[in-house]
Amino acid sequence: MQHRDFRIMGVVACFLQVSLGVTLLFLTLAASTPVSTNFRGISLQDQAYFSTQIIKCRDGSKSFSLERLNDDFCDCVDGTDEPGTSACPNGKFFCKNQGYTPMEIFSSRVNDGICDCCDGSDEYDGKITCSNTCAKAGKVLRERLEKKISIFKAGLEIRKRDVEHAKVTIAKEKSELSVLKQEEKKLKDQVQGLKVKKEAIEKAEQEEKLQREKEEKARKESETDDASEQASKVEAESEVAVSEDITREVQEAETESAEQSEIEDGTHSDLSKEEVGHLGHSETESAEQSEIEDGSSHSDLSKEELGRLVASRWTGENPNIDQEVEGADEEEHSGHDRSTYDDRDNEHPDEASGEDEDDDDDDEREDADDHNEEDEDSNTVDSTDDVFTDDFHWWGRLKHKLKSISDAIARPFKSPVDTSEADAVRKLFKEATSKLNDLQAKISELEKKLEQDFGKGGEFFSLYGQCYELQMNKYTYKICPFKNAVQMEGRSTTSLGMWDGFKDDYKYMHFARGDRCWNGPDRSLRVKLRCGAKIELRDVDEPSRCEYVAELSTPALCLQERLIVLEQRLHGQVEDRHDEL
Amino acid sequence: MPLSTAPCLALLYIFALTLVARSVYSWRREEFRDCNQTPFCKQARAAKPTHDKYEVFEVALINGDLHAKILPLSTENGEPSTPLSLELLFYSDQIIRLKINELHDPSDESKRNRFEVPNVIENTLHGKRLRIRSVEKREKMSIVSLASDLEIVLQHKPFEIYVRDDKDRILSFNNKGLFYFEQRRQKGEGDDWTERFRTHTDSRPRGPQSISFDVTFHGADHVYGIPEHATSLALKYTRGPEITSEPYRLFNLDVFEYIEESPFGLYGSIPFMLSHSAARSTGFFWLNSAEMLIDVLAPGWEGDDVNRREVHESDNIDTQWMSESGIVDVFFFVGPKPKDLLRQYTSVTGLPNMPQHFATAYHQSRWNYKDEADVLKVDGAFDENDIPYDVLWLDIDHTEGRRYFTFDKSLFPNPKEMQQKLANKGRHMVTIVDPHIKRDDGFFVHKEATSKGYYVKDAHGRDFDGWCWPGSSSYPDMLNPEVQKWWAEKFSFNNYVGSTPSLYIWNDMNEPSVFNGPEVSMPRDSVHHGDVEHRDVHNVYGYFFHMATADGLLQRSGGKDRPFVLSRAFFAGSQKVGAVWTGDNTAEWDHLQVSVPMVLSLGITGLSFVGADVGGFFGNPDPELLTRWYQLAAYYPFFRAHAHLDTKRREPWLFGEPYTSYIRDAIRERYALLPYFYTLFREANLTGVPIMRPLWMEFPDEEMTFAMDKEWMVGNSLLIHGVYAEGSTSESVYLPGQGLWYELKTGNSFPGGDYIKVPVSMSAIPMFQRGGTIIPRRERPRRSSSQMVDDPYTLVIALNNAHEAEGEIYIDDGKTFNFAEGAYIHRKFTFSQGSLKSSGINGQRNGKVFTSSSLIERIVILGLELPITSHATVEPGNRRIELEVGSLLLRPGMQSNAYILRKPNVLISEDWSIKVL
Repeated sequence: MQHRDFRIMGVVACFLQVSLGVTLLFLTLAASTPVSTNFRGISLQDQAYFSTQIIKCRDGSKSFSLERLNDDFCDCVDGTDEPGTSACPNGKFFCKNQGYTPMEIFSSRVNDGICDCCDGSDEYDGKITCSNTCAKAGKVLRERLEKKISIFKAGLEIRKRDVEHAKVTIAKEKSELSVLKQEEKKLKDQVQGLKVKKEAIEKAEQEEKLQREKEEKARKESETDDASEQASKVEAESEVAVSEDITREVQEAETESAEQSEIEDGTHSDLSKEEVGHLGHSETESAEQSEIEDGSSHSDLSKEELGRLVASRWTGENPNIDQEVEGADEEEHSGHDRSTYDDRDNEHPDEASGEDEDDDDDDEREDADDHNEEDEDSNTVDSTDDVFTDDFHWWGRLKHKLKSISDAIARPFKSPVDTSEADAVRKLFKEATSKLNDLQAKISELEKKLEQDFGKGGEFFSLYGQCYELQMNKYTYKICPFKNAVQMEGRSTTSLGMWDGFKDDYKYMHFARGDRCWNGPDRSLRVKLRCGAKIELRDVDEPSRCEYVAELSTPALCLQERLIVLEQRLHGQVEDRHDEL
Repeated sequence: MPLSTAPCLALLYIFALTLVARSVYSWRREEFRDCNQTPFCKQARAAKPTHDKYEVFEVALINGDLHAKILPLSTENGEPSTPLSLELLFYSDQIIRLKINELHDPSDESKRNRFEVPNVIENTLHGKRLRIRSVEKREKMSIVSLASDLEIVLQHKPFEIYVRDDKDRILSFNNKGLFYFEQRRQKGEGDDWTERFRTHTDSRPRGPQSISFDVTFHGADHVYGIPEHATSLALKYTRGPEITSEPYRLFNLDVFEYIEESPFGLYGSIPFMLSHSAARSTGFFWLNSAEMLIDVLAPGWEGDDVNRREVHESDNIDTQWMSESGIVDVFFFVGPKPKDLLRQYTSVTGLPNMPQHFATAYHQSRWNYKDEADVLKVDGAFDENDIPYDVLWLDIDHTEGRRYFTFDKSLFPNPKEMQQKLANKGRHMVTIVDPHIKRDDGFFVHKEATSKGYYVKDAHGRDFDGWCWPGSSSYPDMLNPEVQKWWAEKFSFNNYVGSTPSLYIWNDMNEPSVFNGPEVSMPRDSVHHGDVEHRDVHNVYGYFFHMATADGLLQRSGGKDRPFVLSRAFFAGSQKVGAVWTGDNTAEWDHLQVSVPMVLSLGITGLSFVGADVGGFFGNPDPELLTRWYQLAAYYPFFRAHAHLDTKRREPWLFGEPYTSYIRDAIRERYALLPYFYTLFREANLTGVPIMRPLWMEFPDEEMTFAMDKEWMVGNSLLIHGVYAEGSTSESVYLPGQGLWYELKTGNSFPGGDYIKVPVSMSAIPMFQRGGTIIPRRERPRRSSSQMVDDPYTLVIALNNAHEAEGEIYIDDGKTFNFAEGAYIHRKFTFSQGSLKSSGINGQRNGKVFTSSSLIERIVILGLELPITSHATVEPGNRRIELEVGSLLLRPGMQSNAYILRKPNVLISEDWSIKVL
């Protein structure tokens, strides 16, 4: 066979142009010195596979004889027989890259006129000459590897500490949680006792009041309309007060907490404004839309507005703004406004869960609550702050108060109602309820935290409650793991998504259901995690509209096994085609 | 706290979402005029067929042409009737041209000439004029004989012109008496010529000037052509008993989210209609660039009150043609076969140009590759995934505020370096340059155009100011040769800062699109060079713009480099200039399906370098749809993936396995077939015959195929059947003709003339090679087509029942015009009596020479019967090569067995023969 091949080569040569000479020279050499040339593109380890006279295609489809190895004709569809040529579309070429790192490249790169291997071994047909750049590349690679290894080592230390810290802290918080839960149970009983007492007092009060009113009414039957109106108002209020149940009170207490009410006041009143704005916006939009739909023409639009409107179909930009090209901003604002409302629910689901029930309540009762609040003193509001600074401090203070309360509960009360005692009971009840709510909030917060997936060894625990920012051009990106991610520009904030967990074996963080894009999806963010000694947001990009990607370095990704691979690579033991550096 | 508004808000939100969802796939029909809103169309459609309206007189033979006058017998408004001029001109290849115009009155200076479209008719046509020596005058008719079996009859009264062979009429003009030529007149008192549409007013200062007439295609089974419409290949009846449809509209429009199955106008117009039957194919072309509407009239359209004339009505297809202005300048083509029509039509409007070789490969586009890093990332990912591509495209946002000829300084600070990086891998880039020029005094293009008065003017004589991507914009007047020249200069490397020789151009929005104009275009009473109204030139504007851009690319290389310019708008003749795509389609199965008749319709009207956006421009294709689209699009003549700004990224590797492999295989299949495609591009360049062909073009006798547009031929050798439905596991494929077909996936052969049911997997769509053909391939995928130049070839020989086959290959430098001077290789391969021969076609190589060192490495023979020898002999040299059983295609999972001639290693450029038996 070999002889025949050789002869064919010779014959062919007679007909070929000089330009082919180099190829031919090679082919001729290939025939005469098969071993040295035939192993082109094969790694040392794999050479054994090709050292028999009959070789199997790796996919098992057929066999070929040794002289067909690297004979520039594809016999195995999987490329087994042509590791050193471009003949098979699906083959791989191995370059030794001595001094750098060994690599496998696609067969399609062999003799394509472009130097791919740093040792130039992929270009051997003489069309171009590739200089050997492996030494230089190797030096750069080693330096980078060394740097990376040192980062890995530093990161690994931090990671160890983080994991340890997480272990301890999680255990502590778990026990704290169980303590809190026991206290909650106790406190619940107390509150219930106070509630019974309070209701009894209030019932008595109510009866007295009615009695008084009856007497009053009888005495002043011919009084002015003013007086009767006032009476009925009082009556209405009383009725509302009486009908209050425990859930209502929980809610009431919650709204009293200083932090809470700040959020409430701030956001909800803002929200109402925004809602109005949004309503207006939607109406304009739909008005425009229906104009188009019914074919009654854009008669009210100026020429420019019409131009913008038509342009906006392709771009999704809001046509009604004065900016030249960048029209998306306005649209983003309205998108944001729309979802601020959702954010409330998503961002603080624990707090909001109590509020949800509110939605069904009518405004009347809301007014009644406000009215009641006015009568309260603000001490409780102050003390609730302590809940967040010292978990158990307030409990001691409450305890002795509770003692007097339990006395009060035990003591049967008589009519007429002792007003000072009644006020005291009410106050105590209020306080206890408030504490209970704070305690429950704390429990829920802890539970929520402990439910999170902090990684296989808790290595992401230290990221809880933290946010990382990066300024890029006009935007600031803020990523808060386990919570949310936003894009800020000046005062406007766009949600890029709510926490959606880790993906792909803790290589990515995912944030989903951010603000909706016009004509597009809800915004989302995928954060690629890399090993780094500090936690740092490195890059944010938007490759598809409203689908963001970012890169965050964290010690959590500095893994021992990766370090080992890097060290092996540094010592030239492992080939890595996908150089991640 | 307004809690009670929450449910309300939620409802509104849902409502808003619904609006968005609806707007995503909604075509705004009401923004476009229908026939009823178009007075000349409404009037023409309402006209009753009559034969007492016009009479021909003063027939004379002048200088070899037939001249006559047409006298209107009754005029509406009781005005004195002015005769029209009629000319019949004849050209070689039995081409007949009819011109009807108002008589030029030299005494009336105020009366402008009606508009005649320049720069469409080939200059060479004049040289093909036939001077008629005699006309046979009979009572009421004049007859010109073109050949022993072909006559033109001008019937005087009733006025009709028809072409007939020795038996019957073939084509006739005004057979139904719908001819109506609205002559211009002085505006009388009380005349209101203004037309209003929505908020727009068309002052129509020149009054009504419409033209309509009927054309009958005698003996036709179907009519085709008149693109661009998103509808079936075989045209449907638009008027007649129980048919209520709009006429096919030819009016270049930027239609947002067009729908399939609609006769409404899209981005381009070619007023060329073909008819076909087993007996004969005929064609009719109206050179007129004003708004045109065409009705395909169903039998019985005249109603019962009209006496039908004595012709075989059932075999005829009547059509009515209506235009807003211009003149009658029409061409009759008599075939007799489909390919003859293409030769005849392109001898009038020009042959398709020869594209750069790289442009025939795969293009990757998106609105937008945002910045240099993005470009390099996408470029690199193709390499990482071993998927070839040749061209990366930049859409509007690469510019500085949508000022074309600029690069955004922060996003593309080093455009030349970026282009060079791609060029180092043999790749090219394309940037977009649209006709709307930002009205910004600091922008050099605007400054020059304003000071030189190069913009189209509005009805009041000011520079027309419309709204488009950059905001307030004006439009260069491409009717003006001086403006064309000026525009072309803008593409010089000095003027277009940041451009390099590997950068080519894309013209979008050249209908022209004007966001705040009537029907999203330019007002018809805008005024062009030579005091021509926009209404007259609307459909040809985009073609002139395309042409000036291509001239620019030609000039920047000193006339050496073939231009590559993609355009969205087009007109008859655009094939001379460059490529065209089907505009803003949608990621839906229906759009995948309709892309086939759309591309076919363009092909049969001369525009062969055409494709649709792979994946669909709007919306997000799921991986299955995207895969099927790639598999089909690999056989479009123009193969580009493109996507809208709002869509998810969808580069070929983004859906993961197995889809990445499927898409890689589809793209590689295109690269493997590039030698075949390039040969077909050359065929189109020489004959006008398109690359992608309806089955009936190759099998004109087979009536079964006449309305088929779900499968088609690539050249004469390859049959492709698309998969247009989700989850398809088998497809019913019709194999035309009496010969054999070979399924390329399995190598199995099937006899033609019937449907076969083919099992379908996700890995490929059904593809068949026709028995009797030889297809040249290259089975070594590279980064880009540039690296394939010296790679060896594979020949796939599919034998017919007589154990014969033939095929061709055309090769040149893929870049310059040297081929026009003989620098090419054009070989013919013939297999018969067990022997394969390579011989030169047209060996007149008296100019430049092109050589290739490429060998043939592999020859696949399908249909070879046993017993065979295990070797073959190559001559000259009496060299033995091995013949063995191997894989037809080098694709895993497709290991069909075929006979393979191993390493014949003969030069592609030389004469040789290989004897197998």
